[in-house]
Amino acid sequence: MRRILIIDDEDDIREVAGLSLEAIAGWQIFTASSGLEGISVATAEQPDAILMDVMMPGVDGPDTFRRMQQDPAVAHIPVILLTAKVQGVDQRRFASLGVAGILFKPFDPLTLAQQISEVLGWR
Amino acid sequence: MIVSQRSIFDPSVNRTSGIASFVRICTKGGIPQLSSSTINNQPPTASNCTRPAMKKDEEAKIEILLATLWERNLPTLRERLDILDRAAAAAASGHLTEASRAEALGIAHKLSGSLGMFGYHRGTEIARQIEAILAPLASTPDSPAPAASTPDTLTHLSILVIELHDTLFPSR
Repeated sequence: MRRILIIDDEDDIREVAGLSLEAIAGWQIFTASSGLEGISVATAEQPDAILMDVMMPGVDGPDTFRRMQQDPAVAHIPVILLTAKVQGVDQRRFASLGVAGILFKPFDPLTLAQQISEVLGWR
Repeated sequence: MIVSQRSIFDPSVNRTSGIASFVRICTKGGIPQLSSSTINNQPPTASNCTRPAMKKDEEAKIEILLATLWERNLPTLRERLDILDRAAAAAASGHLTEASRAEALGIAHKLSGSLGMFGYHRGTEIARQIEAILAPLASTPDSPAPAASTPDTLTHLSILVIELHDTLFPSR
C-alpha cells in the first residue's frame, strides 16, 4: 500500500484529496496543514511521496521543499507540488526547484491518484 | 520532471464528480429539471438525485463528500465573496489599500484552486481573472511581476465579482 503525505493549509483540499486517494487508490494518507508540520510528519512517517501546496502562510511549498532537500531524513521522498498557478513562468520556476512533478488545482478527485502515479512512474 | 497537463478542465478527462456533475447526472437520469436543492444552490445529495445504476461506491463516497463540504463551506464562501465585494468597491473608487488588495488576492487564489473541484469551472475561471487583476505590481525573486493593474482593470473587478456571485449563487 502506498503512503502519501498531503500538505495544504486548506481543510477542504486536504479532505477531498485524502478521501480521493484512500477511496480510489486504497492508499494510506497522512496530512499536515503547514510546511513545518509537514516536515515533521514526513520525518516520522516516511511516506512514499508528498503532495504539497505551493501557496501556504508562513513557510510556503517551495521553501518547505528546499528545507526538505537539506534534511537527510526526508530528502529522498519525492515531492509533487500542487498549485493553482497555471502560468508557464510559475511552472518553470517550480520545475527548477527539482520537484518530482507539478499538479494543478482544481484537481479532479476521481483522477488524482492516477495523475500522481503517472508523475511518479508507479504502476 | 513531469508536469501533468491533465486537469479538471481537460475535456478528455471523464469527469463524473462534483456539484456540476450532480446536475448532469440528474438530467441524464431522466429528471427533466434541476432538483430544488440545486436551484437554491444547495448541493444535490444522493437522496434527491437519480444516480447511474453502475456507479462505483468509491465515486459515490467522493461525490457525497464534495456535496457535504460545499454545504459546510457556504458561510465561509459568502464571507470571502463579501471581502471581494468590498475590495472591488474600494478599487472602483480608487481607495483600495494594500492590505485589502493582498487579502482579496489571497481569497481569489483559494477560490481559483477550489471551485472547480466542486464542479464550478466557470467560478475558477473568474477567480483567476480576479487574481490576475489583484496580483502585486512589484516583482520579487520568487514572484515575477505580472501585468500591472490599471484603473480600467480595477473597475472591471466589480463586474467580475458580480459574475462570480451570479455563477455560485444564481438565485440570489
